[in-house]
Amino acid sequence: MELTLFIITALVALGSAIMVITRKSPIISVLFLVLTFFCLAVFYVMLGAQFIAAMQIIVYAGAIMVLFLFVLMLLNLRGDQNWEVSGPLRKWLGWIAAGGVLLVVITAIQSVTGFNTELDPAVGTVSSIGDALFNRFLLPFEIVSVMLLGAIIGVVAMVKRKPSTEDEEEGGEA
Amino acid sequence: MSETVISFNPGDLIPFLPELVLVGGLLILLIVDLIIHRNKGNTIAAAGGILLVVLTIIALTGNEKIGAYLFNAVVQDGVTLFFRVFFAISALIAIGIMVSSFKKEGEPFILVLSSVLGMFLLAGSNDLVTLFVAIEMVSIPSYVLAGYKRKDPRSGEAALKYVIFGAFSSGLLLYGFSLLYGLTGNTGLPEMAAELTKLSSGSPAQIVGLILVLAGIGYKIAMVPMHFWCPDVYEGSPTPITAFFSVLPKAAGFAALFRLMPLFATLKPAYGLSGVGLITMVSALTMTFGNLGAIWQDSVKRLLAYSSIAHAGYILMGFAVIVSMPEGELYNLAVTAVLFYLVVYMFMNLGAFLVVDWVERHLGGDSIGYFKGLGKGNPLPALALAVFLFSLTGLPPLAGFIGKFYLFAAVVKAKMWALAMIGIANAVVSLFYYVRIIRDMYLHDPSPEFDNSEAPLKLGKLTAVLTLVTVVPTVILGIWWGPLAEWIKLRIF
Repeated sequence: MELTLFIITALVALGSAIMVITRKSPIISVLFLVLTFFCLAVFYVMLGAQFIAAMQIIVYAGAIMVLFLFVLMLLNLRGDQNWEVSGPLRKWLGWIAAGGVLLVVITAIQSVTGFNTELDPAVGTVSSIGDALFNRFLLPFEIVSVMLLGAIIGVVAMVKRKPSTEDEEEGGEA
Repeated sequence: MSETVISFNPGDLIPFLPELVLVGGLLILLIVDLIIHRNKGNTIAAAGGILLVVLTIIALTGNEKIGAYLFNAVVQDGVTLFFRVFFAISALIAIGIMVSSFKKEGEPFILVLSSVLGMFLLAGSNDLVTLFVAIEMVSIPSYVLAGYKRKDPRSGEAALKYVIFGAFSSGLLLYGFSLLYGLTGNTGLPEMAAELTKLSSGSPAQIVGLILVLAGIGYKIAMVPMHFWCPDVYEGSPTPITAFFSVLPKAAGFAALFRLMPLFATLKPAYGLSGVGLITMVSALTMTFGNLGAIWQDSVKRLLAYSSIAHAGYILMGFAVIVSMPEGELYNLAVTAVLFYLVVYMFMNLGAFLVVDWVERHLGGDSIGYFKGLGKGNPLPALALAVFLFSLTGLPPLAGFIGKFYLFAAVVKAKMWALAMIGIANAVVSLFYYVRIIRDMYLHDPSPEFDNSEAPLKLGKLTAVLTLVTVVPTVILGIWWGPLAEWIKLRIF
């Protein structure tokens, strides 16, 4: 039962992920991306990580995708734009390289025998995540907040009106 | 989950003082930036400078090696102690270079400082999670800084390339981390190294994981084949920011590599690949590609970008020795060589970009033509640039020579003859393109578009001071390097 569910979800996830990168219209790409995220959420549930599954849907499939759509609609990109920048040779080289990497990674993962397949039922609960965040990973967790502050400053600095920066760049004398 | 609960120990915050001071200072600067309205750039830069001086003093005085603390997320050992001082001083110089270009804005300085906070953490990280958060913390402000010249499309291109490459390499890094975590079941770096040694001879998953990690870190240090972004980003970014990029995030990448070295050392030879072989290979490739790429450049910023790739290759030679010897005299020599080279590289590269920035601000461009005849009208800046370029080549009696000498000594003592030969051949190639600029400065007449020989360009006080601050160590360390080497040894071991 679980295996069938996994196979179906995996196929949908793979298919929609391929659709994301092959569709010409960015809006359709984003919609397929939402589908991919839902499939990932199903994987998280199957691994016993309910909290992360919920976060996946609320944050990624919800908030971030809405932002994506907003930006795309504001930019008013048309689907028929030609993004082709490289010739067929580069395309084939890209496929060969990607296939090679895939082969190596599959071989690598298959070689591992000692993966722990027993699931700990407590691992994905909210309390165990809180435990990890506020004990072992307290420092990285707190640092993320400073990092986000830095990102916000960066965004504000990028979009705000510049106080006549450009003319001083020409007349700097120090 | 039967994990032993470790309770929070407030005493752990004492070794964390430099980082706390930096966070506090950042927040204060942010508020100051909101309150004041005039001379924003100068005020914030001055305040940031004072903050960094305080940090340097704290970092210089606190030299207790206490090991892991704060739930083993960070560690305070010799490497942390060294890099704290290194980052504080180099950020101070980088901020000094930025002042002339960002007079009315405080944000660039705040962004640089928040990136420096990430570097401090990176140098002390003892856990993959801390390491990754710290790397992102170094990168995110850098993306914004790369695109700060909004009217210049090249600056936007630089920012975009930096972000996309950064996201890609973060993905590689995380994939590598996930494989290694799957093999070891732990994120703590010492525990992981211990688990990985227990594995029988190199499992493919371990090899792939480590290669992916090396690729992810290689992006930060512009290691071949992860170097494609480097020339474009260095060229497009505002020049003071390029100076910052060429030294600080790169040194941060090397600090991360220091932390990850025990993992690479566990890679036993398998499928014709070992940890030493891997690092040796990328080291040789990086310096060769960097030097060959630099020969054809017309823009001095691009040329210095390729030269910085080549220098990453030289520094990686030291890492090859470090991986081959987990401890002992040779290990100590290699670590000292790498850190010594980083210090020397910091002074000469920041200095070179300082002069390039000065020329660009006055003449409007950075192609080699603008440097023609500089030696006639403006002898002092031209002399300084010549000193930096000779030092980058590694000619005696300058600091670059001593730095290279230490590195080559370590490589030769480790009997890596092939790597030493490639390194020496590269140093010879690099002479060609560095000397080309010097020849243009002294032996050519100024190009007709501008005549800088009649009226010397104005050399501001700050630029003069910064030139001195970078030239003096570049010269002094070439003849009197003992104290710095001793100081590094004292810090590390």
